[in-house]
Amino acid sequence: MGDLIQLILSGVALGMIYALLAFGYSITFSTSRTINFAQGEFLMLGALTGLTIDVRLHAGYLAAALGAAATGVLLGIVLERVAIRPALRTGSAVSWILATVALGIVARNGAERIWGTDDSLFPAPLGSEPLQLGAIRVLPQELLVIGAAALIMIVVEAFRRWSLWGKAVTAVAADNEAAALAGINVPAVITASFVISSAIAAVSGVLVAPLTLAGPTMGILLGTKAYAVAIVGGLQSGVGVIVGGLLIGLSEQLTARYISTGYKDTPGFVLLILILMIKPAGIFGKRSIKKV
Amino acid sequence: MLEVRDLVVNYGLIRALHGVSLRVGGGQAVCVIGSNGAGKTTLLRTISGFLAPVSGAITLEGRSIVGKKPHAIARLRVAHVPEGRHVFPDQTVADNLLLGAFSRHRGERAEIEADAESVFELFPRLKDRRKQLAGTLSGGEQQMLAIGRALMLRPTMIMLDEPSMGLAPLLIDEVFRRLHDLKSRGITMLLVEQLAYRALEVADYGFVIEHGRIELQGPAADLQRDPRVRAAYLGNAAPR
Amino acid sequence: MPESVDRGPLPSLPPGIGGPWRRYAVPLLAAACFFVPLASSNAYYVHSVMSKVCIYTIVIAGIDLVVGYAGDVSVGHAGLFAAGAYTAAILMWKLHLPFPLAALAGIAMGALFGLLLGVPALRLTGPYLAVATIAFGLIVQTFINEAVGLTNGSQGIREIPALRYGPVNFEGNNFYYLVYPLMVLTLVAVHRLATSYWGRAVEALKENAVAAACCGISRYRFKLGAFILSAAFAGLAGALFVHVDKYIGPPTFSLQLSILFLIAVIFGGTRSILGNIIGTFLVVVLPDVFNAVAEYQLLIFGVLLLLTLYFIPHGIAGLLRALAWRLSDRFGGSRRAASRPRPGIELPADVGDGGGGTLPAADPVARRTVAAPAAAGEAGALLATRDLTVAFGGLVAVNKLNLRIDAGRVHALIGPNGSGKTTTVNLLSGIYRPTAGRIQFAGREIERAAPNEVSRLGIARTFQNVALFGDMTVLENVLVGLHHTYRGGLLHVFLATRHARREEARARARAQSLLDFVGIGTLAAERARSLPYGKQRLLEIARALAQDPALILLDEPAAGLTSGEIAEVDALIGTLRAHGIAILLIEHHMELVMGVSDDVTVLDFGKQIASGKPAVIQQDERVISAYLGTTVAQGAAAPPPAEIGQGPAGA
Repeated sequence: MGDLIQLILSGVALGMIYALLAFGYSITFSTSRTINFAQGEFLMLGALTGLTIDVRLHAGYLAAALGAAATGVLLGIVLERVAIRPALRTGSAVSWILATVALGIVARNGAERIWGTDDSLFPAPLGSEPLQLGAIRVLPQELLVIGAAALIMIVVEAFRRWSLWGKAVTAVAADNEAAALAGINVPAVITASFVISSAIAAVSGVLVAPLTLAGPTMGILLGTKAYAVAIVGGLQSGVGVIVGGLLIGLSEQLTARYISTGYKDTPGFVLLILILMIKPAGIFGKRSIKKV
Repeated sequence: MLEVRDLVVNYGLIRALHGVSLRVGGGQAVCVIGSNGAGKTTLLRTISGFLAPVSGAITLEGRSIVGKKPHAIARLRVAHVPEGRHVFPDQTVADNLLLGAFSRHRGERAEIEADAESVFELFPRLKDRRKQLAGTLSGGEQQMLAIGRALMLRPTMIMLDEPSMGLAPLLIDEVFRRLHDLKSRGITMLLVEQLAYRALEVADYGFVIEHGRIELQGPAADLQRDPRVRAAYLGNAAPR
Repeated sequence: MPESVDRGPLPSLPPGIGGPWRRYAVPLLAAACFFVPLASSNAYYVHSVMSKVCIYTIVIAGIDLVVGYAGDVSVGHAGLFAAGAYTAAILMWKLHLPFPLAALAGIAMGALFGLLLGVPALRLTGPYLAVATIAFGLIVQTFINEAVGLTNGSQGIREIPALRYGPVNFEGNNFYYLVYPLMVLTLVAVHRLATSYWGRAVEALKENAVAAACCGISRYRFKLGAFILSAAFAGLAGALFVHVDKYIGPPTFSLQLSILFLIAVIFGGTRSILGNIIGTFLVVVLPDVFNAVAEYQLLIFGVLLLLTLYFIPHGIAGLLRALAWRLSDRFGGSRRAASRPRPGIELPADVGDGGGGTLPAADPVARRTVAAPAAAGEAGALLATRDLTVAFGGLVAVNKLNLRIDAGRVHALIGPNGSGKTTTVNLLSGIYRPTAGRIQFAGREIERAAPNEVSRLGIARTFQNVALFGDMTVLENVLVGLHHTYRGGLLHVFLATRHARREEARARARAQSLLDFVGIGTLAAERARSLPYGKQRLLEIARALAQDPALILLDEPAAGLTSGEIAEVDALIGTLRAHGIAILLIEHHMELVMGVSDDVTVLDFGKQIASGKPAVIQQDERVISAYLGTTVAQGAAAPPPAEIGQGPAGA
């Protein structure tokens, strides 16, 4: 029983990381109808920058997280300028998909050159000794991941709902021409959405790295599963990405435990393909009527 | 206040405006009427900065606004109520109004609230629905909200694009009554309308636009009696 | 950002260069390359590099069908490649099947997986499809890693038999003699597909799915077809790949390989055989040649991809093609004009002279039988709707419309903005399904028919915002309209049979004569996008006529035209009517409507408010008030303005 609960907690922690990345996708998708296929690599760059700050510079975990966030902000600006803005001008989906993919492989290869190809251990700030809570043993980092991820999403969501700038983001997402008529600087809002999304991805890297390992290839699977989560939950639904994240995080842990660790990565993708065939807008998504 | 001179605009591959000139004086209500596809919407979208003219000039109080971005033109307090209303559907009525005042959000909080109240006075129906999502409003209410949102800019000029479109006749009456109210407040107005006689009732001066050209202009009262206005819509009555 | 971004690919090679190049140089070069192994006995270059180039080129040419022609992004082709490789390897290893049979099975398995991948492509676009294909590739890789009993897991398969059949030996450098001809065959097949009606259908779906459907093209058939064929080529390449190292293992078939394939397609240039080959060379040879940069390989590829996307969107091949055009413009400008397809064979004129000219008759062989108006439904009406209604959410866009169009008459549908005219056209052409009511056309109920079925029954249409296939030539646009005249299947296309060539020649002649008919025959070789707006409208009409319609729905054919061009449209409508074609005309230009129409129906708020002769409609008070609004003085008949504002909320 304690075993199962432990399993569920691991699944939830992993699911929250997926949810964080997918939450980032949903922010940029809402303002620009694009998603960043380099998001996983941004997570990786965040983790490795954090590792350098934490271990090499001995600046501590919090500084690592802040450094990662700063890296994310920078990456977001580069991404929007290099890959998104020119592609939006040409209006072709193929070009922004490929441009973000290209940016992703550049980031990965660049990281390999800077940090080497090996994975490194990222020290957990709260120690790697499991906590004993009654019959259950939990890794403190898992609790930290769950708590921090929830906090980040709540803060960003609150910003989106209650602050004027957040409302402006929603307005741009709904109707960018009407937003411009209200005096909102639409391109600036779109850039801001990429900055936020990329910063979230980079911080997720620092959160997840103590549970996995930090290395140039860590982002591929995480990023890909986050697409699955975003699409399963619906790209326009905040609740959806959390439910989707938990669903996939848990199903992976259960698959690993009861079927085979090798198949651990498949349930998310199978679910993704099923959803896409049955309800492309996602479980919580609204279907928009397309005008001819 | 606003002057448009020899404006030539392409819309995609179509030449939508072939040298349009018009003037809107301060405090004046001017309407541009004409059938569908005549170039009315293109005219407003060019003034607002969504479309770049091929040639011609647009000046606001003597200063050129050609080449400015839409949000920058909005910040010059030129409000534009777009065709088809375009309220923010997933946000409340109150938030829609708040967003209308987005560009004046530095230390004007009290004034903004007062302005929202005055919008509610003008459109009492919106007040009852201030917490409702704009997407759930009826077409007429959305039109009023769109006008209200534009008023939140404290505009020196308001441009309205087909406020009657898609509304039932009773609601059209209501909307036009509110336009009369706005006019009596002295707001400069540029009204683009398909319903010519309705628009001419509100306006002081009118322009008839046909195939991207101003074909006719004059004081609204004169145009109301001019048979050429009707011909612009339905063709000449004589069969071929 | 350079200007070149918005410009589509140039329509193939300039004739001055293209002709001899196609006819002599390419086959000669292809034949010469067969003897590469004679020039070098270096086993590494011939066996590993050159064979790999051939095999990957097969994959890339297949991907081009999906990415270049169908316009979808697939990041999962490594999975299809794996399906072919593993199927072939397992069959040879476990069942000791000979390679040819195993390869066929690999192709079949690839095709099957392609079908699986193509089904989501029917419903998904852009990022959704990209994500689905990534997931597909990762699932395949996981499976081959984990299904140890079948695939030997991470150990991979080494038990690959030698390719020796008696005296025939394909081992070592001789392997090239097997893969090179297969690559050439693949490229020829892809080229023939791409330049046939099949390729045009796929491209038309990419450029404008709705317009393509309205030309009678089935999305299911051609979208899925592109994926299946593409996958079959990947399957073939996979089966061949088994023999390169006599070993296959899971790490090869990674997401990264899928991305490399994509880079090859984009960098080389889509929709170009030369581009496919160049792209493959880059991906295969570059890391081999420049061993020093191997560590920066992905970085270089990523930057190259970005640069390609923004600076040479049509890849190296596109660049070369542009260069060829520039050369031909400089040295042989006059030859271009002479190069337009020859005007068709003399075709028998149909009915007598109309207004502007004579509509070229349909080829007797190809002509589809449109039910004669006499056999039509309700009292001779060609098309009749009964209480046709459609609602979007709460908005009733068309409300109990009873429209009746007689054969050979021009029926105008007018009304103010938002009154439901275009919605009606969309209902009649099968794009929207009605909420209630019926549509009867030539005695058949068609309210549930899909757009491609409606087109085949004899209703063609044009679009308010002009929906041409912009990157295709003017002639090709009309050829898409002639889609229904093609009877030969894929095999005919692959083998370029007499039948297929005759069919194509006939269609081209007919397309040219249709272009001549609407007066843009000299523009046949231009790209549709580059036509002036007025000519685009005429091209759309020619494309509609290509469908041999009994009824054409013209949605604002005069919008944005000059008065001279409007006169042309006016004359054209008259000619069509003289040929017995019925027309539903939606138009705001009242001079045109009142001049050319036999009957007029007026819509307001989705309801029919008047119907009758043009002169009567012009005097109808309800029509006038719908259009111009009523003043309080004039509007005595209108309902009194109720005090809605003061009423209780909740109305």
